Formats: sequence, C-alpha cells, structure tokens
Amino acid sequence: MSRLGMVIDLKTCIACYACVVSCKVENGTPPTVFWAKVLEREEGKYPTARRIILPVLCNHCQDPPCLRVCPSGATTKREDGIVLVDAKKCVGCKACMTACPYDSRYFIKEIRGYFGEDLVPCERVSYQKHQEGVVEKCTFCVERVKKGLEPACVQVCPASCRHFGDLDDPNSEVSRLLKARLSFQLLPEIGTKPSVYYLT
Amino acid sequence: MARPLEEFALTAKRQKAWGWPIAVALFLAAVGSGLFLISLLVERVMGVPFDFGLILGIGVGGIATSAAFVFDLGRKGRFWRVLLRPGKSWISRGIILISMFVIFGLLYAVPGWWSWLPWTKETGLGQALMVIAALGAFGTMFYSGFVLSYSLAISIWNTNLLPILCVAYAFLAGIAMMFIMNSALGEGGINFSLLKVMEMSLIIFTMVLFFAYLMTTGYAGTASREATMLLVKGRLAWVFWGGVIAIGLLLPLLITGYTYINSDIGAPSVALLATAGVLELSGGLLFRYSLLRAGVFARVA
Ligand code: SF4
Repeated sequence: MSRLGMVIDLKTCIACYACVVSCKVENGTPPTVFWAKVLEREEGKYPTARRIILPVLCNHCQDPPCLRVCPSGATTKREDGIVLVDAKKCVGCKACMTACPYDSRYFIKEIRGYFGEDLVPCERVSYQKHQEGVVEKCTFCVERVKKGLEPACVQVCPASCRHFGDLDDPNSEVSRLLKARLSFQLLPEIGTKPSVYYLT
Repeated sequence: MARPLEEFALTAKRQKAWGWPIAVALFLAAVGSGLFLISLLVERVMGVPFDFGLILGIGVGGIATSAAFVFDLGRKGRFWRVLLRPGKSWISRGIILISMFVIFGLLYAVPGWWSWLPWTKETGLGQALMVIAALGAFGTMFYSGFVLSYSLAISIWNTNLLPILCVAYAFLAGIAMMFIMNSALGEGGINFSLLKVMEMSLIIFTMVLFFAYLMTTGYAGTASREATMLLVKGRLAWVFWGGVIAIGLLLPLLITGYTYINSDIGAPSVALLATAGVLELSGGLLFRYSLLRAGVFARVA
C-alpha cells in the first residue's frame, strides 16, 4: 500500500510564492482561498535577526481529525492517504474547520471574481470546480496525481525544495530524503500523523 | 536568541468557524432537554402532570435547536446528510439524540391531550416511550459538550470536564425555565422548595466544576493557556466574569437563596425566582458564546 506525502526542504525555500500561484492556477480557487500558503515571520533582533519561511498546505494526516468529525461523509481518505472533500456531499457545518489544527480548510461563503462584479472568462471556467456554502482544501492535486503527475506546487518550485512521493516506499525520493536529513512534522504532539515533512 | 521553528509553529489563533448561531443551538439544546427532564421529574417524582413543560422542552430542544443549527449550515438543503455518520461524528449523534428525544417525547406526552390514543403514560408502552425520550434528552445534554470536546485541535474544548459542565448547565436551564413558567402559570402543586434546593446545589456544583475546568485548561499547553487567559483576563473577561459567573450563577444563587430562606414573602418570591431564571438563562447563553469565542488552536503561523 502507498502513502503519498510531501517533503519540503526549508533550507532551499526562497519564499518566491511560485507554489501559491501555481496552486491558484491549477485549482482556480476564489479570492481569499489559499490551499497552499507561505508563512513568513521575522524573529529576533539585530545582529541575530532572521527570517523564517514556512510553506504550508493540508497535511493529509494519516489520522485526520477532520475526517472523524465530518457528519455527512463528505471528507474521505483515499487508499493512498490523500484526504479529500466531496463538495456534493458537504453540508457546510464547518466542524472540520474547528477540528483541523493546521488551518488548512476554507469555507466558501460566496464565489467572487478577482476583478470586480463580473467574472472574467478564466474564472468562469475555473469556478465551475467550486461550490458556495461548502468547505474546501488542498487535494495534493489529485487529478494530476491520477495521471501520474506531481502536484502543481511541486512541479513549479524553482528551488526544487518540494518533493512528492510514496512515504511507504523505502526507495522513493521522499523516503530517502527523510532518512538522510533531519526532519519534523507540524504539531506532532496532537497525534494526527501528518504526511507533510519539513527538512531542516 | 531566535526561537526554533517548531516553536514558531505554536502561535495560537482563534477559531472563527462557529459563532453565535452555534452558541444559540447548543444553548437551546440544553434548555429544551433540561426542561424536558425537569418536567418529567415534576411529573414522576412530585406526581404533578406537567405536559406543558414536556412539550415546551421538546419544542425548544428539538425544533428551535435544529433551526439554529440549520441556519448555520452552508448548504441547508442537504441537512439530512448530517445524520449519516453516527459511528464517528458527534454532530450526527447529537441530531439522532435530539430526534429520539423529540419523537419519543411527543409520543409519551400526547396522550395527555388525545385520550383516544391506544396508550397512556402509565401503560407499558407509555413507560417505554418515556425511558427512550429521557435517554435522548440526557444524551442531548452530553452532546452539546461532546461536540466541542471532540475537537483535538482546540485544547480548551478538548477536555472531559466540558460535557459534565454542559449537563450541569442543562439541568440549571431546565429549573430556570420552571421558575419563569411559575410566574406565568402559577405553582400548580409543584414543590418549588425542592427545585430551589436543586438549583442552589447545581449552581455551587457548576462553580466548582468551572474552577476545576479553568485550572485544567490553564495548564494544558500554550493554546489552551492562551484561551483560558482570554476568558479570565483578556477581551472576553467581561463576558465571562460579568455575564457567565456574576449574572448567570452568583446572582441567581443569591436570589434563590433569599427566596428559600424567606419562603413566606408570597408574590415577590415568584417575581424574584423568574428574574433568577432569566439571569441564569442569559448566563447560559453567554457561557456557550464565550466558550466558542475562546476556542483557540495552536497554529502554524
Ligand atoms: S463542512 Fe463539509 S467536510 Fe467539513 S465536516 Fe461539515 S460536512 Fe464534513
């Protein structure tokens, strides 16, 4: 059995936001919705000041708390570990948003365009994939994965800091990286077992 | 020295997904189930038939709670889907418990009006209906706590004390409703001295529970500590100390205590008890509101 996951090398990330933009292009998410984000913060004071960069997305947890609370069966986990929301089944109760410790889920209250009242042609096409009144999140670009491609954020990363693959396969690139380097997951103490790892 | 990245990922953030509508839904579920069970107690223990209380409890607990909950859904037309995962989700379980309490409670109460029905409250079937409805109402009381305490991400909710606190609040709300109805309907043979004693004991129990709850959450990690501070010292302090504790618990305790000691004051006692009831219900609503507003989770930002 496979467990798809992502490994993000924080040493090589340059905070160019290409992943954020490629996610937007691939998934056509409405304004204020960011399935992929890059968090930045300045820490400390001169001369020890430093900038911390943390690209984040849904962690596709092995034990997803959002799945447990979903009353409608809209949130599911595939055999390969990808956690998905079926917009046709979601009732928009937002229980999953209170359960997700990673702030990875978005409630789509209304779908607006980026450029005023009327939708531009590309928005009219891409917004067909979205519904108002439901919750959405990163899908690891499941449609691309089904075709044997990598998620858009991985493919576009110019610094090659994102790696995607089967965490259960000892010979995969992600497994080898995790063996060779020090890594951590976000909030491991909560017990969600995220499938996104960070190399330090 | 700069903090390591893992610590950076631990800055807390307030949940914004659930607000007033959910606070109202949780509150109404407690008022309805509390009133239903207290009305049953009045009927079975004090021997005073109290169909009005039963039906009002069902109306508030079932219909009004569902309305408030559905109001908050993004897709109201798909409401029925929330029933699909009782094996895992407390929302599903809660809606099933509420339905159980409403349907079986109605079937138990209606022979009081429609004597042509083939069962009465005293027959075996009537008794069975009562037991199922009571279990549903009791489950509804717990549900309003479990639906929050099941959230791993928000540690101020993620404690076993919360469902117990919610049960105590639900019984308090039931008695508060009795005090309010007393001013409109009259005593009708109900032993209000017993209700006053229950009320005072429950308030003291709730305050002790609150203390234990805050002591636990105050030491349960960064986010939980921050949430507790938000309640007791931060922006929500006036709601918590003024609304939940002073208006919702202390004043009703003092008023009920006064009417208990001065049981011979007659009509003013009824008005005072009704006031205590209203204050207590206001505190109960603010309790849910402040709990939701204080829902802080550890966040990767
Ligand atoms: S908002 Fe949708 S996906 Fe989230 S818990 Fe509710 S029904 Fe499930």
